[in-house]
Amino acid sequence: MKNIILRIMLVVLGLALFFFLLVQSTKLDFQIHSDYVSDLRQLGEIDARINQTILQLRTGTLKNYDSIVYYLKQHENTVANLAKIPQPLRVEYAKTVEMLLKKYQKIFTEKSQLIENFKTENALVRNSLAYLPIAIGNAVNESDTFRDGKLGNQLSQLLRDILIYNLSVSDELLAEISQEIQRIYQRVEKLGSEHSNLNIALVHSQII
Amino acid sequence: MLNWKENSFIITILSLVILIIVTGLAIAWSNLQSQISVAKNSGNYESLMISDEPIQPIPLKLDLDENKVLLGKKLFNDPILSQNRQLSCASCHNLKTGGVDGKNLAQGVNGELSATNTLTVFNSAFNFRQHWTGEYKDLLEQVNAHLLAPQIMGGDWSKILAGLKKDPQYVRGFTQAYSDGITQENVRDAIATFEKSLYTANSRFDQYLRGNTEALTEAEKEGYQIFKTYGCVTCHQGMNIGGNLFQKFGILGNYFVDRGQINPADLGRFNVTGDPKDLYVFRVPSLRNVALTGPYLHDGSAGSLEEAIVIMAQYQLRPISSEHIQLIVQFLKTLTGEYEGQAL
Repeated sequence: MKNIILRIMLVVLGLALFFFLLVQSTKLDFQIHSDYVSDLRQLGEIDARINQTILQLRTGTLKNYDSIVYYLKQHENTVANLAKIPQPLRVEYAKTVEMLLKKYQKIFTEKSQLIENFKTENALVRNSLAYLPIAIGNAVNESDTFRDGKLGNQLSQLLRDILIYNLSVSDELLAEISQEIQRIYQRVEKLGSEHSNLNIALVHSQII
Repeated sequence: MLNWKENSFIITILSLVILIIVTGLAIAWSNLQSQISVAKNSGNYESLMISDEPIQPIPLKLDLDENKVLLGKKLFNDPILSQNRQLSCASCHNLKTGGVDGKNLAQGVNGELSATNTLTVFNSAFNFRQHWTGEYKDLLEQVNAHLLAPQIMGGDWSKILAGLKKDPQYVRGFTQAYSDGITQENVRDAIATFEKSLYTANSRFDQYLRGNTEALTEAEKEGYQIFKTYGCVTCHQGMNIGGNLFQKFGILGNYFVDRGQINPADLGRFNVTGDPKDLYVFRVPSLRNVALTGPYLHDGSAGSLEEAIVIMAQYQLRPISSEHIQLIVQFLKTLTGEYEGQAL
């Protein structure tokens, strides 16, 4: 009976050795594989953080651009790491990974460009939004004609519509605001004289 | 008592169970390791913020390789890098005068005038891109471009490396700092590492941000409030009080038409991208140590902080009173930091 147990043990050991050698012959370096998978996961996480940061900046809960710069840099470094494809990977797989990475980088370059545009425009919009009520107030008080006349009402309506538009973007409202601005410009042209406060208010309206 | 058949069956099953458990543990360990690795690598930037304000203080200490910093410092001050061996990085970026040359436009090798005003080298590592138009993605690119640009230092790598290899101090320094000694990459890296060490922490405003409310006078605090109210802070924010976004110069009016004599440098980032949307767009400069870094603007046309504020208000923001200008100036003067423990 001992012989039989010994034989079974030998078979099991043989099997274990076979599987061990099989795994060794096909496996990637454990650490390299682990790092690569970790970088892939991290890429997704950083992208999510970038999206989150953009929303925070848009809503004003985040007040500076350092974090978006930080995450974009982190993203760039991670993509650079991923471009170093682990050597033991089979050629056809390496080519597929390389191709996918190139596609991803192309899309992300476009996204980065949009993020830069967003940063630039968001800075302007936040400034103009904060100032617009004061600018409209200054414009209305610039002359008695404005304060008491139809232009004063038009400016108040413009301010209200722009503030609503900021909370709830709508193409219809945007078209209406553009028309309001044009109507005010036409009215000012008819009045003829120089109205610097009114011009500043209208420029800030157009920025928003 | 179990018979031999039962015994061998149990042993076989046990062996298989052990195999499965070991394999399972190996897989679990692999997953755990990769998750730990993700957790280690992906920091949440917001957790590093010290203040709720749009401006953040500069870290009091940065960890940098001291050998590389010392080597970079020597290179930064050495005219051996320039074409005529008379100009060093420090010629334009004088650390004793706020990291700038004090001239309207930078003067390169053979006295040739550059197209733009010299930006300070202090805190430049915190900028998201380098130079007025952001044409360099980091300090390494910027160092390389300025070393070789004919109108700046006019250097030549073969001559630079040959010169450095003849100097035993450099040979020793590079051997200590880099395993492969004197190479282009290492020269660039050493200078960039030194530039990273040029951060000016502990300005009075940074002390205020860290909670020392006595660090600023009431007028300076009011100046900061006005700086925010007027919207300066929408662009000049973050740790470097600028340096982290692009912005068009001339929102409310055309600065360049009013100034006259438009030159190619005025086109700004358009010169880099060729995109009409980038016409007159520049990287927002940092306001750190701004009281020391005049003249101001890319063309060096504003000789004082007051002039610069008037231009910014007129073309970017809104009309401003002279009283408010003075208060903002007082606030800006609190942004002067320390280098190597000494006030700039």
